[in-house]
Amino acid sequence: MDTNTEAGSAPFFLELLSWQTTIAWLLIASVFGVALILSIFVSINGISRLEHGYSGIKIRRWSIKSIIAHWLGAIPCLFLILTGLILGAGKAVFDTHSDWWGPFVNLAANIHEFMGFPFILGAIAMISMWWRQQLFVRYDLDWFKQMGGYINNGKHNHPDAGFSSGGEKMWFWTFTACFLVLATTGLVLFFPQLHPNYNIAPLIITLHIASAMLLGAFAVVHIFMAAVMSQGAIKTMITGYCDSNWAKQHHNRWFETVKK
Amino acid sequence: MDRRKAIQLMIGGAAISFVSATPAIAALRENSQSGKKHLAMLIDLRRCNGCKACVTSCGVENGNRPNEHRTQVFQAVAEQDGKQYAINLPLLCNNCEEPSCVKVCPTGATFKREQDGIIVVDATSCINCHFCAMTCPYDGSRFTNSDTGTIDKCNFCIQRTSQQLLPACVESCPGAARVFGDLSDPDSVISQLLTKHNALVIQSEKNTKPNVFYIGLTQEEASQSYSLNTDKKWQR
Repeated sequence: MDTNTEAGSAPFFLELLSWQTTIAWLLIASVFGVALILSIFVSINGISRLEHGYSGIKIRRWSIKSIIAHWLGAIPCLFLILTGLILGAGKAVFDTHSDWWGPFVNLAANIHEFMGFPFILGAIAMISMWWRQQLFVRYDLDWFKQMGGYINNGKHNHPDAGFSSGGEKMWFWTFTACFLVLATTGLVLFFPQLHPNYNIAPLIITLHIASAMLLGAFAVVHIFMAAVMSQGAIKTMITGYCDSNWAKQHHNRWFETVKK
Repeated sequence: MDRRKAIQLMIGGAAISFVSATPAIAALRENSQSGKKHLAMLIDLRRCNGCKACVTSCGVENGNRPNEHRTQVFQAVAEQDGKQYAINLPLLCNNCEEPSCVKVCPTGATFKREQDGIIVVDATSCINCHFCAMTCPYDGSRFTNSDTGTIDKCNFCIQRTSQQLLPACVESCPGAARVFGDLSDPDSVISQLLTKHNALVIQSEKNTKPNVFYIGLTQEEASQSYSLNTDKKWQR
């Protein structure tokens, strides 16, 4: 006879998880809400253009290994965010009794489970390759004080940044922390042999959702910075080379070390 | 005995009977005026001899594999006052009033029917993530059906009860230990029995408000957790 009746944290987290509609809209806001805020921001503030245009001089920024690792993590990450939104918020938004919901949510679940593994590989590769250059240094604090120089109000201001700026480092460590939580809880929830029991399962599910919310919001900011906000940034992660003027403007300290 | 002491005793007495029968009485009160059915099961352990006719008939009725059970009879040896006795405890999904499974289901596949309170699983939208099984305090009451690949559990034989038939386990119980009915109807047999007897639910402290009640369960036995998948040490 099992005499273990200690409920632990289960009732608290079950109560938290019963706020389904709130959780659903928080998840949606963490992706689409953040995207909306950023769009409004850029329409008022404008994007960060290269002040002196492209110089045409290419500087090697990412190795082939780094580019592969990045997209091995990034593409599954996009799928995980979108399918995770369906799994985490779909119930509150869609009609769960309609005919299309079953096949739709099953497809989302299958993609979510399948994409978890390349994402884990890509993330581990990125974290293990890049963590050294992501350690904070003193001038990163000034980068934050000046909001990276992105809020210009007509003035051009470029705070010091090494290979990675303060903001990029913050994204890296937030990603690492969320990734560790998501991967651990995700694997525990995926493998039946590792399934948590009543006492711990609500906590595991809550952690998975909470860290996904944080990672989702940061991922949107990351994509936005690379694809929209910073002119010339996204090509860098595709070709591995950046323009010297881009390096000078956004990563001056790193540029000092690579220019001969 | 002075009046004050008599009042104290009355209060004390009332409090004790209220605590021990709380789940049953609360369940009776909650739905009596809603106009909806509140289906529940009462198991009289004094009438159960552990024959497992319920387990067999359930498997046949619902087409489950021989090793996958919607109901099971937990059997163990307990001791009271130095004397050993056998405990036969039929277990099944409690179709709770505050179900944790419904809270955590990401797809809405498992939900509580408004018309009768039965908790069902829609196999077409179940993704077999097991969140419901993990967060259920009643271990083993939910399992993956090997034929459908989705979560399966007791639904009070919904195919029978929606046609005014009794669940297979109730129908087949030789000792008539299992009583099934509507708690919203104060004249139903189950309502009458619940007002008469001191029926308990298992693990009431988990606050899921189960709809399976037991007569003859001690407070100590009721506070423990049991699994439908417990290894058999012996069988009647």
